[in-house]
Amino acid sequence: MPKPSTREEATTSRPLTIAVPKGRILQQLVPRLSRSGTDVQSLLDDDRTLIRMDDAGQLRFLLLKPDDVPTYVEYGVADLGIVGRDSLQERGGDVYIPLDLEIGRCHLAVAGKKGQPLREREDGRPLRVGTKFTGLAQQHFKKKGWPIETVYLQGSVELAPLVGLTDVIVDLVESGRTLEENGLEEFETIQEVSTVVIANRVAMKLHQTEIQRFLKALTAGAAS
Amino acid sequence: MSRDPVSGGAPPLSPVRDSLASPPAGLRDVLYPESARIRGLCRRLMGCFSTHGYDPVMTPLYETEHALRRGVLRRGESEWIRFVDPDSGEVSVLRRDMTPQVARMAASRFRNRPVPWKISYEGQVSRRMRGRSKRPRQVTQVGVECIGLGGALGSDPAVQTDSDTAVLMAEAAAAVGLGQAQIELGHAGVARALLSLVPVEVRGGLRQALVPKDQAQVKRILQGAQVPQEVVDCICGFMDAYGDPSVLGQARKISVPGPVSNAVAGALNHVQGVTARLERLGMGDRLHLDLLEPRDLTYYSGLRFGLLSPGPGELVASGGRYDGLLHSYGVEQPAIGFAFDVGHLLWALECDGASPGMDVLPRVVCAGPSGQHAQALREQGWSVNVLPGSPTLGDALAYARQWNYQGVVWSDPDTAAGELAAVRVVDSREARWGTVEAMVKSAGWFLKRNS
Repeated sequence: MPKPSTREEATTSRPLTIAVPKGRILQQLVPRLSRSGTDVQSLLDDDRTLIRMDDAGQLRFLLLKPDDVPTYVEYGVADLGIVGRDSLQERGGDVYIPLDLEIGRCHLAVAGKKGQPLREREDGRPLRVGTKFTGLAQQHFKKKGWPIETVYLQGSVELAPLVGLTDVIVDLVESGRTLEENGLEEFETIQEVSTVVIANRVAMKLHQTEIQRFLKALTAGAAS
Repeated sequence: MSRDPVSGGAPPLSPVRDSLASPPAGLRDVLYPESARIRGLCRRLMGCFSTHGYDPVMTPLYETEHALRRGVLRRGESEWIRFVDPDSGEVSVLRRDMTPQVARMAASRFRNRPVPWKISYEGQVSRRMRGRSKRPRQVTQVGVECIGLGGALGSDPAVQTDSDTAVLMAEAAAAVGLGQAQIELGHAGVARALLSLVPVEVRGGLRQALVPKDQAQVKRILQGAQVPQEVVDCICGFMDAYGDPSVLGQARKISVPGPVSNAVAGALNHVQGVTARLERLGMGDRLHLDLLEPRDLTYYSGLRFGLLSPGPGELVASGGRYDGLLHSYGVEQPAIGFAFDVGHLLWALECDGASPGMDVLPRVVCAGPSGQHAQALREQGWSVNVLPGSPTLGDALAYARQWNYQGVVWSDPDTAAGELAAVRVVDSREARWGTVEAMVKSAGWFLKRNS
């Protein structure tokens, strides 16, 4: 048997490692992977293992919290990752973004109590903004030239303006129903958000063949 | 309250719990054996550069900010760590990389000497990285600069110098055991030309989307700016132009708008010339091309290259041509160079299963009556630590284990003093007894047992 070339050695005999987020994105991702021909049974297994292999031993999934996905990919322990643009931009990550899956679509928005339009405070105090996305909120209001004070909140962000903790919130909005039910309204959109595939900068090149094959299958899965 | 005579009044540190016992965030202490591996790698890399005529220099720990705020010297400005020099009162910058310092040094000290000026360097640089997960603030670099050799784009002298420098990078990697890493090639001229096709106001955002190869975002930006479809197709085509050398053919089929077609063709010809030379040297199956790399476009002026290997998730070494660098110091000389990130190199070697950079001769503890053998062993290049007093063999072994020594030299008290000694392999408790001469001869066996 001929000795494999250096390029072949770099691209064979190892499974592709993919960091996937637990929760909402995973639920939307599984049908998409399935349509692409990927064996998703291991992702559906109802257990607490964090590393799942497909039956063929070609794909290894790491189940992570969404915010941790860019870290695993940037360090190279995962070749690819699935993550929302919101998490990626908030946390930052020196990675490639070869494919936008166009699932999990929503947008990042500024919202507040109905009837209290968004404006700078007249008493000179910086606007107090409740959000999990403190970095993106700072960037947005910096572009407007407004000084703000961010209050980091992990969940139930809509509560903050209702009880006077913050003046407004910056949060993901999908249908707007949660805002509506809590007497809030959207003031402005900061950016559109969707789920993307990210790739480690070195893995994308050393394992180009397998990664391109996987990405093509995912793209075809969207069309079918 | 009485003053502590040693600390001058400050309460003594609790070494385990006190936060003052830790270095500042992002910085770290490097202990043996990692420190020995890093030093060993630096020494071998510098040795390799020396065989190619590169003279080592040492650069200052910091420069004034004023000196670095000109032209291409501003590279990586967002990562600078600044402070006020207490003597001059000037804002200063811890060295982020050594290339600007070498350029300053060369422009002022070597300007009357014939070219090429071939310079090598090693040392730590400091960075303040943001917007990413990996944020080391201290990086050990080893690199070279070759100043004064260049030529017109695609010309034989330029292709030869660029190829030789990329080959030196690969040769240095091989010298430390990373002989099969992939060599990445690209050219700054492609990204620069393509960015000039879009309106100035969208270039910054477009470049930011090109860095992560974010095709969806690039299309959104170009369509939002109502850029002609021909330009969209061209830029998106080049985004996919990475892979083995066949991508050059793929890139040549892309329709490049007239205003930049010559610039792009020139850059591709140059990459093709370098690729052909490296293929003739038998490196063809190690080449990886990435023709649209938009990082540091104000800095790089021509060929870019790097070393890809599993492990660190980032390039092990990187460099390229920066013909505008010396201009910042009033000297018109072309320049090319590269640097290894030694932390990444170590990571790649360990991932490759190598035992990188360690000393090649044994490192042992000498105890008890065997102390008289220490000097003889040192003369053979061994690292010998003579323990004071009269420790037992058990104490000497415990010390050796704690401090990562490979063995203990111990005389057998039942035999004639000074005639016999033993080397004891620390972990397996294997031992070889014999004369000092026999021990030195057994160094190969000793190291093999401890590798």
